[in-house]
Amino acid sequence: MYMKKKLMKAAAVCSYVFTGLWMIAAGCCYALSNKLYWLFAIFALITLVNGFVITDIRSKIKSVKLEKKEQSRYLFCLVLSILCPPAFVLNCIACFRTQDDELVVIRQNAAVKDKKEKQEKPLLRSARFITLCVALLTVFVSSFAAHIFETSHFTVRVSDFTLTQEMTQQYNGGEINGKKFIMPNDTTYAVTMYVPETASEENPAPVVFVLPGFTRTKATMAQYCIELSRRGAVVFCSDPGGQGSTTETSTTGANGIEYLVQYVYNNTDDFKFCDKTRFGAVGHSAGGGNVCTLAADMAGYSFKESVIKAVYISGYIKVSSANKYTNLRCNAALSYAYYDEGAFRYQTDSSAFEVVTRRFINEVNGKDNGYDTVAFDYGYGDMSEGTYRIIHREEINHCFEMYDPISIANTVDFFNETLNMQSGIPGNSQIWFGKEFFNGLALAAAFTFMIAFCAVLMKLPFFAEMKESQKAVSAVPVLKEHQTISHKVIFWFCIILTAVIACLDYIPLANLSIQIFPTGNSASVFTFVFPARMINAILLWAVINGTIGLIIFFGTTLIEYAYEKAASKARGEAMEPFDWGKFKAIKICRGENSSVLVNTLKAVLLALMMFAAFYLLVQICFRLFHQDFRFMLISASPLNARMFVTAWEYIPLVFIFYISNSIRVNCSIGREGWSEWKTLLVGALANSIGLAFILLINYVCYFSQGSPFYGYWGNGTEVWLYVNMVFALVVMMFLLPIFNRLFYKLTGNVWTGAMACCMIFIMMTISASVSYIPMY
Amino acid sequence: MKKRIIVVLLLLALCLLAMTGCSPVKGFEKDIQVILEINGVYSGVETVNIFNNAVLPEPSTPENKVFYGWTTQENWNEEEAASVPVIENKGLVRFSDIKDAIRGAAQSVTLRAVFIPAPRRDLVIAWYSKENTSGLNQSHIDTFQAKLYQYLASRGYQPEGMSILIRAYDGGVADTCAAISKDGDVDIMLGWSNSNNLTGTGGWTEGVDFAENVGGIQVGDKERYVARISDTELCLKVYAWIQEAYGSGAAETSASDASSVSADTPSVTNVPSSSDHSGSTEQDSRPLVIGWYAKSETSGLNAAMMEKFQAMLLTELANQGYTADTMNIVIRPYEGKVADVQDAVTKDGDVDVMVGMKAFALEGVQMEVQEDVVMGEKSDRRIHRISDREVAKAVFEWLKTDDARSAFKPD
Repeated sequence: MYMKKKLMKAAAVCSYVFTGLWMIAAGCCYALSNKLYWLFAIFALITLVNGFVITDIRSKIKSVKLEKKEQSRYLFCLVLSILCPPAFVLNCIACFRTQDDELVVIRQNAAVKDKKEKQEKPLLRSARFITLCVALLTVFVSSFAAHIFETSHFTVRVSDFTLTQEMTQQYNGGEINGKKFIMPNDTTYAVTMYVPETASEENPAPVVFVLPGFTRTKATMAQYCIELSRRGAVVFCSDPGGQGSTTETSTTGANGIEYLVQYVYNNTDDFKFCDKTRFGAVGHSAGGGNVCTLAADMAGYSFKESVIKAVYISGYIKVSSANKYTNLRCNAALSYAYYDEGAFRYQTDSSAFEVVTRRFINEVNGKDNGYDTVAFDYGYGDMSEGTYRIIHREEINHCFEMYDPISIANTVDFFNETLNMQSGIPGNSQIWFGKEFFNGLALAAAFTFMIAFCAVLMKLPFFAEMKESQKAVSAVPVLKEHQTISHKVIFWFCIILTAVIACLDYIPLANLSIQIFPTGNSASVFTFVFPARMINAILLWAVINGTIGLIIFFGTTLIEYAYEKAASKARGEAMEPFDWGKFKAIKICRGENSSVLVNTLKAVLLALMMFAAFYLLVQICFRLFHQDFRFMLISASPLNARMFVTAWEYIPLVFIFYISNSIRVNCSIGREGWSEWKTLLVGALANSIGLAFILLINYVCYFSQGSPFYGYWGNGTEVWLYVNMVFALVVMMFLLPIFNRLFYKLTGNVWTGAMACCMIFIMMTISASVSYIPMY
Repeated sequence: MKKRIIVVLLLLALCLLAMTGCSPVKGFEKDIQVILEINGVYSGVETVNIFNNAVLPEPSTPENKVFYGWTTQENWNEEEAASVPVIENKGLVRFSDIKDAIRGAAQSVTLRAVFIPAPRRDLVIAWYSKENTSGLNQSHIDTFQAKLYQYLASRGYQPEGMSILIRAYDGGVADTCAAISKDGDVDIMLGWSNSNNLTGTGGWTEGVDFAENVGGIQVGDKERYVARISDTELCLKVYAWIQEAYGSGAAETSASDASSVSADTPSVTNVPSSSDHSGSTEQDSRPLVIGWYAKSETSGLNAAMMEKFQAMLLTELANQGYTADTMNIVIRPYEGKVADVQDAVTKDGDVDVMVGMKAFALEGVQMEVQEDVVMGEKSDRRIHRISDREVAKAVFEWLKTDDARSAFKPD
């Protein structure tokens, strides 16, 4: 019997795995517009239910020979398990196994040791306090280590400054080559400067200006800054309009980089360590277009006159930018990722990559070179005359191009040659990974710190009372040891349904957000009303899916109750007590000495304290080590007024999603009677699988047909950038239920964690995006 | 513990898979050779796959012909060249253009150059159909066309006999400028922005790509610019007229211009200033609008047929006593699904006769229908009379004749 049970369990697990595989197959077919996706979705559901039934039969098994009714059920399952071949084989063996096991494994329960009453350790020796300290230490040590990488082992001085309108007027009337570059508004641009120790007045260093793309901050370009500065270049990196700490919201012209170049170029006091005859510029995506504009605007009439001597345009091939190639009077490089998802927009004989690259090598200094074919990684022209042209095509996609070591190597090698940096360090010798790793470690440690901080606070009598009052409800046990099949079907159906809805409604809602928030979606309109253009899509998605989640949770509970009541009545039996305990955890209870209101305020205060502690840590690390917490596209940057105000417009509405998730994780998934790791895993997958499927659908279509599934949507709206955001979103959505569960365990209520997570995650998301709020 | 380790290992494997990037995907790409043939002669080969397009050379054109595009179709008569399905771009081939033509496990596809007789153009006006920016839509352009014809007639031209094309351009400034440059036949541009925009974003050079660009022109809902590209006599006259009729303070100019025209010619537009035109109701003064289903593979119709039809229709209307001064004709294409066409026709609200549809219904409109009309290679097409105007009835009756229907036969 033991072997039979093992076989059945293995068959059930195989069924669950195949459920996932069938779902992926369904997603792939959907991506390819193949109607077969319905068939695969049905296969997935059949396999899932089959797994439940096998588990149910297994739980009722008493001898190796099943009862007649159970045997019939199992035979039925056996037939259905044909959709999952491994399960079918296992079921075949198990179903017709009638011999009892020869070897009887006796599983003895380990002697239950007398549980000594755990003595409460003093706070300073408790695990939670030690964790807090270790996390804090890790944050600082990691940030310090990241600082070492950013400063190339203290050989580069990294500092920030703010460019103002006054500064751009200060020198030479703000003129370069007869053109004025003075900021039109009394706003500011945030700039980070990297000065290698080799740069001095006697030995001025070449200068490279770095500009990130749309929705990215200057910190996302640190890898370029590090690699260029450690090779001896002075690097300036600025936040474009509406992004990061820049208060200017306009994105016209070269998006602000022209003012910075003019200021550095004309400044006769502060930048004597800069060689003003060796200026270069690099930008990615929209930043690539901006540096092309910059180089063309400052080109003058010859290579000698051109202020920018070398320009590296990465990830940007719009025709409007290509029209400027002929005006460049400097050496230039163009790179465009082989798998750039945005390329679907450029598929005509005036806009395609193949046409634009041909223009790039042909339209040089106002002449036509007449090349018929384009060779990649080959340098055309003469570097000493500013006619050098090179094109790269790295095998990466758009949003990770700036993290691609080959792309970075191409960039630094280009500047090394064209600006005559004379660095002996080859392009592929890179250290920026170190900063990225330690910033990532600091981010993980900061999250751990936040949880430990909450745990420590909960030990204080002031907050502990809040949990004491919740204990009675949070300790309500799960009523049934084994859930019925109908419960399982409903439970998993709800999980799948919410995931499918989350997958299918994201892009339509992103499209809808453009219509609902027209002012917030235009770079030329500045508004206080939901000004974070890209986040508006997340806002709608969160509100809709949060509401759906709540409706499904409460709705199915009531339906389950009604069903069980009716079933009991039909059987003529008294109804078993229903699991109302799940609702009780939502309620904040009154304590012995505190009212409901007081406990509610304490929950809010606790969440605010966690938020404040988290961002205080960010702020301190930034002040001490010039480091924020980040890993690639996920980041917690220092707060600034614009982003802070913007985030608080979104937090109340997005909170619907966070509380919905907290309730589902703690009051539904958490009450299935599973081990904690399984609860966390299911919660995390349930919350992120829908978004993961967006990526699956998009990229299956992209890699098989050459254009992304979510390219244009509705009335021809470009939505591909919204899919790029999913990369970061899916990770956050995976972590969210885990945090919600941990905070629930610590605080005893579902609210505190949801509030803290909502505030922190939204602040992180907004800070890493764009906001057209007119706050100067 | 084992389970946890498995889960962690699985997650790590997933992360590693994601971090290895897209390189493994390259194995799925299939390279296809595109063989180019001009007049049956091999002229080169290019390679495409889903991530790599190929730039195609522009073949040298025989005299009195223009290059129409590249096709995967093998045989066609010279007469039906204009109806041969060509790939979307003349100078670029994408994998999606040829994937349906790949036979079995073949590694190559042949593209053949198609040439058609060069059309004669007296005047080509480009208009910026990005309505949010230009404030122009088809309705504005129809009215503009009617006024233009009226003006030309008043200056002694016979616009019906002329080849005047008013062509829409959509997209960004850079894209539209590139398209106009490529088309190479545009005389006047209506609805774009100032010269800095054309030179900056558009990448043009003033004096080379366009001669002049004047602002304050309101043809649609917004004041925009009108740019002149060519310097033919007709172009100069029309350019001057546009400034006069639609420039700042043109309300009075336009009215006086219209009334001056109506002094010796009956007004045919529905502008208020023409309401004093005796003997002509406002409805009658509207242009005659013939809609046609421009989805060629379904309707059998193409632009060449409709041009021929327009010429024949003008002759017929003249025979019936309608003169250029009393009747303007708009031949308007409709594309997309049947439902979309129905919606568009309903929205436009001014179509008199629709040709080339089969299943076609407009809510609340009773239409007269001619069935099983041969159009191109299709023998089941229909003609719908939508309006009850006299001229629409006359055209509908005429369309019953073999003579009229010969316009829809492929040349």
